[in-house]
Amino acid sequence: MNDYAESNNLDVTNPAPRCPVILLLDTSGSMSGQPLRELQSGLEQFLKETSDDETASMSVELEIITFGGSAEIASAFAPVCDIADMPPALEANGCTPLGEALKLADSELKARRRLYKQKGIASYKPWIVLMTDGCPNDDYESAAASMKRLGDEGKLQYIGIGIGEEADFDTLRKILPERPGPVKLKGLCFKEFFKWLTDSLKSVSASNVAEQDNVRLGNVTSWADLAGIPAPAEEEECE
Amino acid sequence: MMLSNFRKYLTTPAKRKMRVPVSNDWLSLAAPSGERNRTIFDPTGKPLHLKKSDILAHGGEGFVYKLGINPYYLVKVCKDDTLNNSRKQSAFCDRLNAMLALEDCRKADFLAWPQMPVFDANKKVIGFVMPRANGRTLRALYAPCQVKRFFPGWDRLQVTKVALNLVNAVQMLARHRVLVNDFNPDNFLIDKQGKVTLIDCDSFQIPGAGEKQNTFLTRTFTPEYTAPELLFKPELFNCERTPEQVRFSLAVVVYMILMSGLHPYAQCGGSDPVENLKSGKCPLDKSLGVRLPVGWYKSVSWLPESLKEYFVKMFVYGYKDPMKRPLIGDLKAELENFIEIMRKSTNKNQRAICPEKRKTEKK
Repeated sequence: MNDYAESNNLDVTNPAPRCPVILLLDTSGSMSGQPLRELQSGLEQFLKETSDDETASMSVELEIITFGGSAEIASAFAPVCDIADMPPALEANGCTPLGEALKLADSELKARRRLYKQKGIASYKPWIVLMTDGCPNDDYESAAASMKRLGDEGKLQYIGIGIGEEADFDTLRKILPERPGPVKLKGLCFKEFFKWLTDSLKSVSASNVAEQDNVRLGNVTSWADLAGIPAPAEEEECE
Repeated sequence: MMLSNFRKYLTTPAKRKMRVPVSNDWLSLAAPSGERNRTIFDPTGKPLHLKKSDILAHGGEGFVYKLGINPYYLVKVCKDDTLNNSRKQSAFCDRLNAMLALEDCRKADFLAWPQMPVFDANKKVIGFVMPRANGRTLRALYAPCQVKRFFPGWDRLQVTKVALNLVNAVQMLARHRVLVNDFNPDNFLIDKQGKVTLIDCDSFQIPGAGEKQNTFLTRTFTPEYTAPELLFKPELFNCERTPEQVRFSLAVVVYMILMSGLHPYAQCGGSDPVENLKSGKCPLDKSLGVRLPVGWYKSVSWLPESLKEYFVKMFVYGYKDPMKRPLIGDLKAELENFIEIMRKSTNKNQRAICPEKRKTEKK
């Protein structure tokens, strides 16, 4: 752990504004095999590159929540360089309790932001990155409402990514704010996505808090399948 | 197979065929950036091949490529926006020529200064070659944990030497009437020996060559390092920057280097650095009724009194009156004095990045 951090992993000797980021990663059984290996590898690359950047490493505080069987905090909020020293090993298992994961993310994010306020630490807009390859099998709608509202109000950068042909974009549309809406991962281009995420967080961390909305994010063609995602189903719904 | 997975197979083929584009927000991030392979020419007409995959950075004005044939140099090529606009292209050429004429700057090993122009196939100037600088940006010194991570073993003596090197570089430029406009910490690279290299030199204010040519201005700035009169009167960005404005910005950066990233106007219960700066309340002057953020007095307590006085003159008395801002030479002398004090001291706190609070000496 960072020598200067308190028990809550908050380093009060770091005067930089913080950018809290939660990765919500689907680790249900359907992710087993190559998808999970690629995700793990992309995640480790993200941790290494972000912590090796002197701008992002000061600001990015990360939490990783996995949902496979149950929703769990795989790495609690900490400076990204601390997590890079000991990246969590992802395991695919069980069903897709997305609602549980969203609820957990919402409460963790609120707690972290409260802590920043208590300690007088400025912060950027939080980032939530949700990656899933399937369809939730619990009640997600009420759990999703709070973060969706924050996203719609422009107070949260909320990115939802569907992986593979079976990703449920109808559900993602309900969970995510209207902008920027869901996007599909090109193949298993996790590394390309995480490279983009690193670059985006570098740009945000280098910006002034008051001007963060003017930061232009990088080109997404290396990882985003922009050709289209399935059209909304009219009556069909995942139970 | 899990139930959720089984459901996936219930999706009808007809539904899969119907596809809609992603939102405009995502599509806008897929627009072509202008990055491409290029063949450019040096002043002798020799072709240089630049690969798209060798682009290191791109800013508002151009792309920076690695130069495949020589790893010690980079090439900056203007964006099409500049090259296709004759007024902008001409202004770029004039500025570049004025920079190339400053021989001392061109030879200085602490500047990524343009060395020679590069041309397109029509012999139009499209960019320049500059030395490649290595190191970490100044942000690597802007928190104790950062210093430990990126410069293991460094203490306050080393970071003060970095500050002194930066002061020397800015002073040398000022002697040539070149003013650093943008004190963005990403524009200063530090290597493991503490050497500072200034990059993005084409954002500097450059004196015109000869009496006929006007000074070349730029509007680039980073608000938290910018003199208050510019923040309050943005129309001043259209005028020449002044040495007093540079002194203020340099002092902010030096203070932040010495104080591991703490901004001179950071205060207990304050907000972001720009708002704190605009408040004009520097906690080094106790009469202003603001205090340093919790825990930071320890670091301030080990600064020499004369150095603290320098900062008070700059950030309190010089806040509204630029003429009261002390000279760069005075800052240099203060840093040299501080380095000497640290060298001679046997108290480990004198050099520590995170010292214990200094005990008040009994009179």
